[in-house]
Amino acid sequence: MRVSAKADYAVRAALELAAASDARPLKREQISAAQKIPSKFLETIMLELKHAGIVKSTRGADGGYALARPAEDISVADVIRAVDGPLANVRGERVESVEYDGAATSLRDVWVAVRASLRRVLESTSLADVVERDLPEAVMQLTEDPEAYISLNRRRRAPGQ
Amino acid sequence: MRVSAKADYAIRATAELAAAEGTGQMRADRIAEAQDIPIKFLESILLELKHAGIVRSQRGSEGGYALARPGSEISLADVIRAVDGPLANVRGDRPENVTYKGAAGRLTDVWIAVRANLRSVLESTSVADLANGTLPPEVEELAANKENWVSLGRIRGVGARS
Repeated sequence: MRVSAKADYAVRAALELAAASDARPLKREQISAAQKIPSKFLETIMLELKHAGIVKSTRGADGGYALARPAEDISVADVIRAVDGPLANVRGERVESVEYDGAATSLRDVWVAVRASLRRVLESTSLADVVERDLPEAVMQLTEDPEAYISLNRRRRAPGQ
Repeated sequence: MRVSAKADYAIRATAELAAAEGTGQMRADRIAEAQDIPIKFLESILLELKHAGIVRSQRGSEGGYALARPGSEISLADVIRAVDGPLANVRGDRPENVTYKGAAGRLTDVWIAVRANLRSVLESTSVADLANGTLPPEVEELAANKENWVSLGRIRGVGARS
């Protein structure tokens, strides 16, 4: 499961706007410098966020980008969907549209469960939560398990579990 | 978040082998047919699964592929890692290796939480569970909830914390 560069950049750009919410609009160069995002790529991303109603832009000397809605009303999932489409997909298809046969018949249920677990984190976390460093309780609990930070651990279920 | 064709095919191939456990070897063309997987792609996937110690192969007229360990001891996470590398990655990096500055400082924790949740589903489900159609209770519960089948649901109000 891969978080694309585009999704990662889009979330970071939106977070910069969330941090600047009440101030003047941010110029693309400011966002690009603050989050080290290639400026051309950022331009494409901002256009997609604008089409999705997540950011608005104003022209002129004082113009730039700002969030189109309050930061506490925009989830990380909203931003990812705006630039990458459905939150979870299997071979480019929506999870509920893939069909399996034979020994793999239950696999669609597994992908639905995977998507539900992604949603639990990404829909419950707003841009304001990340900026204010105040993540939802359920998300914090997931990161507090020391094992959560360890990669590639091949934990196995205990027999009979 | 994308499940690659390779990971999807690898899981389906190992599920077929789990269903055939104890009945000898299964030829690649039979797996390909049972799961509609392009045979050339399947052969390269089976080779990677073999290198990862998930399947073994045997030559000869009775030859073919079988699981190298009991299907109940092979998780879907094991299969995905064998063909796709780390379970979750951000722009190709492991979540714990990405660092963020400024307003995005806490984003690492969000990706770590995403991975922890992915693990809770994919490490707890074995290829035998999949082949038997009996998923772990917590996975069944997530799959049984009708809301989880609705796409693009902006159902969960942000801020409504539970």
